Amino acid sequence: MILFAGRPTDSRKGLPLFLEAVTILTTLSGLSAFAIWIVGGSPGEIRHISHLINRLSPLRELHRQGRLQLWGRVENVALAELYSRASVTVVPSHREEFGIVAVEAMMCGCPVVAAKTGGLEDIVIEGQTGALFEPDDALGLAATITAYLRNPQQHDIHGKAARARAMRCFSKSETLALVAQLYETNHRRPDQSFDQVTSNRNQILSHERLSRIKALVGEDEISVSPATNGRHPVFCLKAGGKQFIAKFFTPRFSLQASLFPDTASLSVERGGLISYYRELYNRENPLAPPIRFLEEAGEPLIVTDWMESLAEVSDENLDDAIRGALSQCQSHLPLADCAELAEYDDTLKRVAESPDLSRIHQFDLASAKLNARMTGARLIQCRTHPQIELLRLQILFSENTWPLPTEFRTRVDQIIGLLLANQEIVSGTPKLAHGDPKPEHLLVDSAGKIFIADFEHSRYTIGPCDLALWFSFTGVRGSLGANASRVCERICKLCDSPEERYLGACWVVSEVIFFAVHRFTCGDRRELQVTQNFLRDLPMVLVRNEIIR
Amino acid sequence: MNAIVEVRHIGLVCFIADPFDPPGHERFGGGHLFLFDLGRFLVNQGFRVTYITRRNDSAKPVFDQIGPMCTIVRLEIGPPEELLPPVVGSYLDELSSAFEQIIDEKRFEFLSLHSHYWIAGEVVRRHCVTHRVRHVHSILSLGRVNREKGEALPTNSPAREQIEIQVINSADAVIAVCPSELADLRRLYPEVDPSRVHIIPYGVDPDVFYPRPQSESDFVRRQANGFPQGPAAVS
Repeated sequence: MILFAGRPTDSRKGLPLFLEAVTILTTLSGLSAFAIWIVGGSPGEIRHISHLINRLSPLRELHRQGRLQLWGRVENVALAELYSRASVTVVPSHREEFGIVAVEAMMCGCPVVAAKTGGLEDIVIEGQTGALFEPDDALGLAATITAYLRNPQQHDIHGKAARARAMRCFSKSETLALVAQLYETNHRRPDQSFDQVTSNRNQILSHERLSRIKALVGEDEISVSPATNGRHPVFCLKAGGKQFIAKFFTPRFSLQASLFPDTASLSVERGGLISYYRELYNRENPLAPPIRFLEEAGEPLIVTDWMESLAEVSDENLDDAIRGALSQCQSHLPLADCAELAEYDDTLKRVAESPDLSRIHQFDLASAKLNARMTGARLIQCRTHPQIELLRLQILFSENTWPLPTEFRTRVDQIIGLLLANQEIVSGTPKLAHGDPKPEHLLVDSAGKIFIADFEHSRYTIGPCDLALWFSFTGVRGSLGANASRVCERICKLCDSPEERYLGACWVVSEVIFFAVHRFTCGDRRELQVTQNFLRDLPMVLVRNEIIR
Repeated sequence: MNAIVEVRHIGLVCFIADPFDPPGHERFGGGHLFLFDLGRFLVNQGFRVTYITRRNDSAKPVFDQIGPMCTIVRLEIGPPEELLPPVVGSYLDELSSAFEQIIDEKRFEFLSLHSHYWIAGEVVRRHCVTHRVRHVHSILSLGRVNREKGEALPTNSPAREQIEIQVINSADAVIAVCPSELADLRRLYPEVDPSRVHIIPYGVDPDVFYPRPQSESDFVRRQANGFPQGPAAVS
């Protein structure tokens, strides 16, 4: 259920944009059946909107099937019922001073997809309580909605966070009390954000979390401060003259489940125990910071030694150091012959013979079983093979799975076609990868040894997955001027064999496309442009460097 | 006659919308609802509240007592019909005179006057030049933001912007409803002192808006089956 609430004929509210996005949704494949509720408006306005809908055949068809309903104006009590039942509430306003509809929906536990304008930008926290898209961008709006339609767990987790934020910042009696204070005094310090009203920091460092840290470390005299703004709450601890990092693993959902259709039979759960078990699996990994304390119960918690972050090394030196570190990771805990590996090989061969989504899904299941040793036996989607990822993307692009701009699709078609043409699917035994070697994860101990924090994306993969991810993070992601030549030079320098170079290029391409599409479904168009720019020169550079022939 | 002296008497001043218009009325929105809720909240907190607005319908009384602690005064300025805000702005001087007159006549003594939108802001600012009353102002919208968004500008737009600067600089406290509104103010109005601007969002009643459990007799099912009276009607 996708809900729009507002005056339907008010040009600022963006109903025509929403209807355009709905029309786009009707053209996509792999979406579960959805319904549209439009709430608000006088009888005259409803008649006007009905005429509009009946003029457009996809909308007329939805209306005829009872999947598009015009509710007109409803009482607040009824409105709350509707918000509670919606997968997502859409606020596509061209302009909005505040955005009370977004707050009402959030209060009812419904995530909000809103245009990035006015107060909506402040109310909705992208990726936590909903998504923000560029105003007047129907493709962007449609893309953000697809993520909620494909992954009901995204609704559950964002909805819960939305409700918590609404209660914390927008409870009516509290905001009115703040106004009343101003009638008598100016002693209240002006706030710069909603979250200053009730400090967000207190929400993160709750009494319960603090008590657990103290009990686990066994020190009462302990100083705790928030360390990062990532998905999981992370704290710096000082206790007994030593410093530690404490990380709580909160549950979240799989990004793949929000992007790919038909991920059924694989868990959409992430974070929580899955992350915790992955960290434990890598406990003896030479790259992992030493674990000092851990606790599985409740929200899992791990305390590791504190280390300096490695930030002051030049890119060139860093590449060599990272390669050395990552190769240690690859040789850790090698896979021995086992039934899971045999199934993996078998399903890979079947995809190589005749690639289709059904066979790729069988391969995903086999990969999940292979990696279940580090996920507490949970079967989750693990991207293990770069050519399979390219095949998957090629098929999903051809089936119009996402509402992407034509220019982007053209570039993706070209590069994937080029990388897969006349190439056999590479077989072999997957090796352990860190899975997320970002610059901010790099640490160094007092002896200068490199460590990499956060093994929660760890998995067995084919080819130089970690190196390719490193190149994506440091050479492509976020940079409109990403230089394909420079990235290929780094691949050629750090990958020893032609096969490694080829697989490295496949990983880079699949990763940047995956990330761009993921960001687009979060309402962020910029990464599409970044990727498009990067892919523009890549074919020529790959040929020139003999990565492909 | 003795003066009406209220220790905690608040005046809520808004000329572009009548807070007692029913939902679904032409200009009903978040700000409109806020004024209505604010008055009710203040009365519950023991304040005496007087709404001062413009009469936008000849059927409405000029003066209305709503319970013992709440009154509404509708100034008879301009035609008694709904007017667009720029048109209301063209009656600024007349609204100001009528405002002074009604305060004298009713002998109101306010602890604080809370203006909404620049027109009420200027009327209250003029009043506060000669009266020691605390002035709280809610921005609601900014002329230069409208200009930036390319909206058609009324002829009194430059005057509006100058008035906005005066009002924000002279008010004891200013309310922006979100950080973006404050950011717009800082960016587009370098002439104003933002140090007294407080961010206070519109609130929502958590007793009305809360997650509903899915149930056999839920609202949607009742509607779909034509039993709008509730679960008791569902067999």
